[in-house]
Amino acid sequence: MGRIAIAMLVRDGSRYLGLVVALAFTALVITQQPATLLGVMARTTALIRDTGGVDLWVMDPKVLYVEEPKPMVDGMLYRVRGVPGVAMAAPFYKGQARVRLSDGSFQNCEIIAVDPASFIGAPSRLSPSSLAALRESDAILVDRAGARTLQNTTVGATVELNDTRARVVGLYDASAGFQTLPRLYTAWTRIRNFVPAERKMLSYVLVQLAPGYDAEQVARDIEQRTGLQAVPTQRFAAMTRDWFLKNSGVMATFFGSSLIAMLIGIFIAAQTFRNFTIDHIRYFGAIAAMGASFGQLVRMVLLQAGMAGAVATGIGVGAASLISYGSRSSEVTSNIAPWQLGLSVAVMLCVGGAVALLSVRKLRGLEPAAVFRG
Amino acid sequence: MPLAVECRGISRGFDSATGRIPVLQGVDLALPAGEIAMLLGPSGCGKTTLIQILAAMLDADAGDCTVFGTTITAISAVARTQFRQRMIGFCFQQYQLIPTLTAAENAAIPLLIAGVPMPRAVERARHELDALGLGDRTGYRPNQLSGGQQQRVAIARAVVHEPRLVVCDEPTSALDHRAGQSVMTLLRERIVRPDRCVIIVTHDNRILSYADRTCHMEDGRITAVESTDALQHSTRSSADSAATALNAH
Repeated sequence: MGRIAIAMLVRDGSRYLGLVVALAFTALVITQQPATLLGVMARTTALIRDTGGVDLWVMDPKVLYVEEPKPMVDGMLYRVRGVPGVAMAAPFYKGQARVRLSDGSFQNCEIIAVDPASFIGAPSRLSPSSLAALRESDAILVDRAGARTLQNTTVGATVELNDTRARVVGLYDASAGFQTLPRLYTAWTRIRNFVPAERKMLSYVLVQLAPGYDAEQVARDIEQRTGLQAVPTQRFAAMTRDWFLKNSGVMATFFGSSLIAMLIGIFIAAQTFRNFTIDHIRYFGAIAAMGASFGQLVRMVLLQAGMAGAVATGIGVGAASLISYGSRSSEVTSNIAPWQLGLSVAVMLCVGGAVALLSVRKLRGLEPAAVFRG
Repeated sequence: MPLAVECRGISRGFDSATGRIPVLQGVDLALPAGEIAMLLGPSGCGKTTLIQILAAMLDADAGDCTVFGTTITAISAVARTQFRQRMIGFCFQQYQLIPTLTAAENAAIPLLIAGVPMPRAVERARHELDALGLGDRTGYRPNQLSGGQQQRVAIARAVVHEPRLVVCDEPTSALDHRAGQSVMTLLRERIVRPDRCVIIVTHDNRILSYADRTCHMEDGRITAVESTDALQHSTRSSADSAATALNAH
């Protein structure tokens, strides 16, 4: 009876289309919304990901996420260097500066200073020659998207950074960040030229481990010996994501909108499938009269729900993947992780099951004898 | 002829707001195999309820009913479902053809319920449709067929699995005279067999001539059972005599 059940479903064009569209919409929402959330979350850790070759981030104990460092005195760098297991420790400054544009307007920028000797903390997607140029006088690096914001600044151009002349010596590819400010890099030795000097300028100490040392163990040693907070890179990224999730409201917004859209999709799908079953109830009655067991009828309905659910899941997840692929270079990125596809399929299984259950309930009250009453 | 149907003291009522309303009140009925029997009577006299019980769809409140040797009033609901699937063919008043399936697929349903693989079931249904004159319409959907053709598909579906008892509910009520006569001729010539009984519920006096036996019902009782001339002229078997005696009782 399986092929009959499928034929009853797919040849009923308009109802089948309505059912598949409703379920596909649900599948799209439950795949796309979390993907967009993941995309947004990935932006929050852009600086950490773009900072290559760092095993540990050392910071003030009160720091909760990467965007808001609490400056430390420069001497902390030497105390960290003295901890066993630390192969290299480099200073890292993160702050803001204003660039004056050629038309007289100003653009706020994020400015980062890295150690010009080791270049630990420098952008990972940058040519070695550009990196070496950072050692030149007044040199800065600008991310490509930021360069467009800075009125298409090119290599060799000079800009006014906090009333100080700076020269663009290279462009680099940066991951899209949560904030959309251009991100400039300069040498740690020149940062005081560009930003007002303060007693504490050291935002982070970036650590590379000596071979054979465990990151967590060294982090604990640094914390014991310096009183600072030392966090392995992956954990720091997770801390940052968690902070945004808990404090930005983005999670609640996405979860709320996803839930509402999913409930709408489920409601429409359930109603459409229930109507489909009700419209076919007399045929199910005739089939029952002809000797089909309740189990056979249930299997038919489950198969119909499964078929519609499978097609819709394919369409919905496929559409979400296409959207993700199409938006890979746009500002609104969405990341579909493999586990997410599994989750979407699992949720759609539950949705399809719930939808089928509603229809099976209609079958329970089915009286084969009623078929004689027309 | 052996007895196809033998009912004794069948009673059945339905609950209503004012209490239980009796619909069948001690129905006795015996129908031999190899015949077309017609159940006649005014609306509400219990014809449909009686065929629902004969077709193992409905429990009786009291009495026994045996169909081709199986006492269907004494078996479980599951066994009744299996009995229906194996032994009964149905021809419904409004055909109840599934609109999205072809004629062959519709006719194949009883075989599919029995677990026959789709290609074989459809092939047998095509053969049945061919025998009923619809060989060139097997791929058509119900809405592409006339009323008479749809009824023939329903007949093919009723007999495709070789049932012993075929139950027809008003098979000609939605058809014009000519189509009705055509359907009855097919039932008479193609469906009736010595080991099969066809029971037809009808209000259509135009088809009475096709009956071997007419059973008149009124107020939940069989009031008269008549054999047609054709039957009367034939030699009556002992089973037939027994049936007549039982019906008279």
